Amino acid sequence: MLGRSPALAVPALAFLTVFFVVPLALLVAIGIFPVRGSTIVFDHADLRPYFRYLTDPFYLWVTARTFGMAAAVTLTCLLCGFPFAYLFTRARRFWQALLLSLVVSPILTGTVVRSYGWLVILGRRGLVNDALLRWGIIHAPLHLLFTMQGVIIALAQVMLPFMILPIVGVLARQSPYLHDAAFGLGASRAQVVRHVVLPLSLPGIFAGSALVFVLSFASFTTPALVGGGNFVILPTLIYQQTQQSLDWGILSAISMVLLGTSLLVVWVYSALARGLGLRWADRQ
Amino acid sequence: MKRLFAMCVVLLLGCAVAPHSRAGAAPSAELVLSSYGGQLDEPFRWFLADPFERQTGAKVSLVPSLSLEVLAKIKASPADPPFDVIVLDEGPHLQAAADGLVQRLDDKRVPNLAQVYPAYRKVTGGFGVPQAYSVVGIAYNTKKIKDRPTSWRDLFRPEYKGQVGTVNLNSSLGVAFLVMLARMNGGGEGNIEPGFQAYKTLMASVSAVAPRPGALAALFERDEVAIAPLWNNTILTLREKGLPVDWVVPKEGAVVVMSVMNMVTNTKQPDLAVRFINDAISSEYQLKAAVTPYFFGPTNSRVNLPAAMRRFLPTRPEEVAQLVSLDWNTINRNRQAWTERFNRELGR
Repeated sequence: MLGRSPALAVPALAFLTVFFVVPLALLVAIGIFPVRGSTIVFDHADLRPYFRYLTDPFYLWVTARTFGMAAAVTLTCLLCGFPFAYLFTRARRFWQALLLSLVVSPILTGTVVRSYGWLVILGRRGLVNDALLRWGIIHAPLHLLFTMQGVIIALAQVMLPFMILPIVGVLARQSPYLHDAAFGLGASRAQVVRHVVLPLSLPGIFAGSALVFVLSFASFTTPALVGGGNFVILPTLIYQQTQQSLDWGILSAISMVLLGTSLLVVWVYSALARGLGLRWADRQ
Repeated sequence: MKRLFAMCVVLLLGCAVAPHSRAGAAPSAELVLSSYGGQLDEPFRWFLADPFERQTGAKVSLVPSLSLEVLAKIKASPADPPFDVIVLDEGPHLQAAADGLVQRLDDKRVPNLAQVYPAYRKVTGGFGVPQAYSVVGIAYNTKKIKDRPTSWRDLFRPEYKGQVGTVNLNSSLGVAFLVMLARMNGGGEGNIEPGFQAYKTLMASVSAVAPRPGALAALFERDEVAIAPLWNNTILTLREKGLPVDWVVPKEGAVVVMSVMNMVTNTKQPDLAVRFINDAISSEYQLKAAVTPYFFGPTNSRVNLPAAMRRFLPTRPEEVAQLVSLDWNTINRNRQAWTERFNRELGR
């Protein structure tokens, strides 16, 4: 009887309700109702924080900047991740094990440790500048640390597994006969990738892109460490508001925009992926 | 599905009506102290907390935090504060006193207070005890900067382009530097405009804006910056490790900032807290924290430091009086606006 009982969901539901739903509801309430001291006054709604957010060019600039950063990270991951995933599915079993451990190993190290690693690598006297200087490609150290480019590089490394794994999942399920058939019909390798492999792996690409975008849009540790003390994106702005100005209303508004944008992106991606997936299913 | 939804609603309601009383467990004897972080926590840990634990049997936890973070955390839960004893820089201290986050001490229960220089007690506004002071001067890499800096204006020299470090306005260090820039250009606490104008000019030379003073010191270690405004003790601990750095008092003056130790309002351990605060201003402890490599300015008049240390640490009230003190009440009123402006105009 217990097999299908909804009672099975109670522990998880209780946990989520207490530690996620309630705090989230409070966070929403803080943005809609005025806060006095440490209590929320539910008398009348006050949407001024949202109004302030949406009419202030600075906040809009930061939002656009954060969006652009996440998009750049997603694109970088896609450009590096897709060839890797393709190579992975073509490789022999032994190499696959090796490549897989390469992909997964970054997830196993802490974000802080990884970001500190990037501080050393991207620094004025770091690996990158050292190598470029020695090979005579540049004559003065590049400014990589504490820049948007540096943050994108570091984030892309952190996020790469989340792009590669979904694509590998889709590629691995593709029948190799499809490729053979395409070759048999006279397609070149590039044409096979263009017309067979790529379209069939779109669901994986969408899933990976959505994951990477959402994770980098909301990431704090890596941008805060690699970006430095005046690197402004939505998560670092939220952090600063919680630590300094204690302006709870605008803080809630920023958080909601962050969350809302992420949800919107996930929804768009999944709608796209669903639409495409159905069409291919019909064709087969 | 409907039943799941119903359960969710029931749980939500349960949370909403749940009594907000705290479990009545016996309070464990733990004293939570805010601290500076890094090597600067060593004197607190070794010479203050450890002996205190041995004498009282209580546990002392050090939580490294910037002053403003301490305030934010207490404000978020004032009835059950996450700290018992806090050390705050002058500005945040005055803010905490005004907001009722810290309580007045009974002088009779802090006997060591009688040994503290009266001049230092003026900055506390009647709350807490002046525990130590630190000084903002210019730190520089002696291998890369051959001419010893003598003025805050040296940071603007074209040959240091790309080698200057600063810190954002989260810390007293960042604010003090901004005010010094304003003062040098005809402004001050009440007129910060010239400070921001100078800062914007300086940004062309700035290689990194660190999020906190400790991070700025670390940038010296990794050669990202060669010259920066910095606390005497933050950089001199690195010098003791053998790094080629030095620290100077510029001719316009270095900024002295008092650290005030306070008992938090609603602490569950008032007796332990008072005793700890009394220990923290004893001459025995302050001497240990004032010598190499820590350089915390002693507030206890019975601490006698060797003359050789005077260059890094002015030790007597006459010497300290020659340093620059800032008007933190005015700064507090404007600080949020300055931070916002810093983000807007100097963020990237």
